[in-house]
Amino acid sequence: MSDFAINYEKDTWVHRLDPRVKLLYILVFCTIPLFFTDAKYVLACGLLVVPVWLSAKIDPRPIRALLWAAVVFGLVTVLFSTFYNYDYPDNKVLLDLGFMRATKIGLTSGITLGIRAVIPYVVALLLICTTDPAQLAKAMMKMHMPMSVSFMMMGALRMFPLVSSEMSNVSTAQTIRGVEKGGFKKTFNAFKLAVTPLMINSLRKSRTTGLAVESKGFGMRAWKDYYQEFKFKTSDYIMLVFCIAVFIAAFVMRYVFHLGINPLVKGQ
Amino acid sequence: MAEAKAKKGNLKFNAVDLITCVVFAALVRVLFLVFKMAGVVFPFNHSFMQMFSTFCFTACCAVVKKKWTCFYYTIGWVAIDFFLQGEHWLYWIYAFVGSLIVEFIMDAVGKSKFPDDPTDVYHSNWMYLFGFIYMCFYFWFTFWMIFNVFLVPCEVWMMLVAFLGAVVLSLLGTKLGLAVGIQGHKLTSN
Repeated sequence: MSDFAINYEKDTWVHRLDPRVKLLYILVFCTIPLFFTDAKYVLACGLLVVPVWLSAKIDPRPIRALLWAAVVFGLVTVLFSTFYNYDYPDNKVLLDLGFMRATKIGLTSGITLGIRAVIPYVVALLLICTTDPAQLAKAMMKMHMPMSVSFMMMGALRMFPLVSSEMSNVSTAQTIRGVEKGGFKKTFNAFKLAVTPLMINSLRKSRTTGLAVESKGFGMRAWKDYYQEFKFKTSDYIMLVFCIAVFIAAFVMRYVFHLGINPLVKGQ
Repeated sequence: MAEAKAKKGNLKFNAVDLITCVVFAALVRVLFLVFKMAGVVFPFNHSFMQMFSTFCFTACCAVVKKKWTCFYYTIGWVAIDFFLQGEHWLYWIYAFVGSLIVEFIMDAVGKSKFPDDPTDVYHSNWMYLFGFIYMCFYFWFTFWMIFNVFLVPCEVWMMLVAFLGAVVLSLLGTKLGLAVGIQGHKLTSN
């Protein structure tokens, strides 16, 4: 499904950034869109991400499944909010299906909430596509995170594409053998048939990888030392200042000047 | 003495156990991504998510059969969510607090009900209770996030139906996970 390695190998300023700065970037840009409920402010947050995304020259093909998932997630949010029963007296009805009504306030809320939901998705993909998980794990250990937790995170990022491709292989094998898919019942049946081989193959892989890791001294905690140095460069400092400035500006706008709030957009 | 030391050594988490947790953490996300094709809509997709979650949680605990499995498994899937889906950092609070609470409950039950080998609790019917508690934490934290952080609206009755569905499906997930996990443990420990 997703092979991120194709994108790691590029050499742009985003790729060269220190993984710790990228972690801060992801934290800031996953948080600030959620400060606002006014579409203009949410869009502005999104626009701040665009130049960084474009300059990273990410090939979208290996991550199209994840991009597609982001779009679907955003659209579901839009659809759900559009048909939600916002109880306002001057609410204009756009579509009446009898048991459900799409309203103008609902649609506006939906679009805002959809964009809000998609921005963090895209920002996280930027980090994943430009950083080798091993680098990320080392950076986390540099921040004094326990080795086993850093290893878990690195392993999760490495294993996810492997398990995904295993699932893809099982699915292809099912197609060749004539397993029918489409519709809830058939998809569910195909899914049931896929679970056992997927699990057995994944477990087999985990044993092989685990033993290889153990044989390289993981159990003796020999992985605590590494030659690579992590030093901030000028571009890292610039990005660091940018992230802090954006966060402070967003925080002040939202919580000091009470800007960026659309009172019609609300959850429960 | 040497036997006790060897037994204690066997209970320590090694790379194979960590990677097994990682595999189950990846598996739960992959299963859910694939299941999305079946077209179950929000909020009922969360009921099915709980089935996959408890299935992988129970299977992972049964295969590894060591303390801290729940914690590492949860760290694994939260890491995948965070890095691949840009999930909110508040989920890390759940990963640490929620999983540790379940971990301590499992440990306490293991020590009181299985004094000879507390890890036998991971192969016992107590897993239904642990799976239920794990599901409740996960479900309510997710919906708290959906309502209060993402502001996605949802009718309360729909959420309650989704929760009932999650209870039933998580029991099914635990049943399957326990069966598969015990078999998996036999295979991997030989």
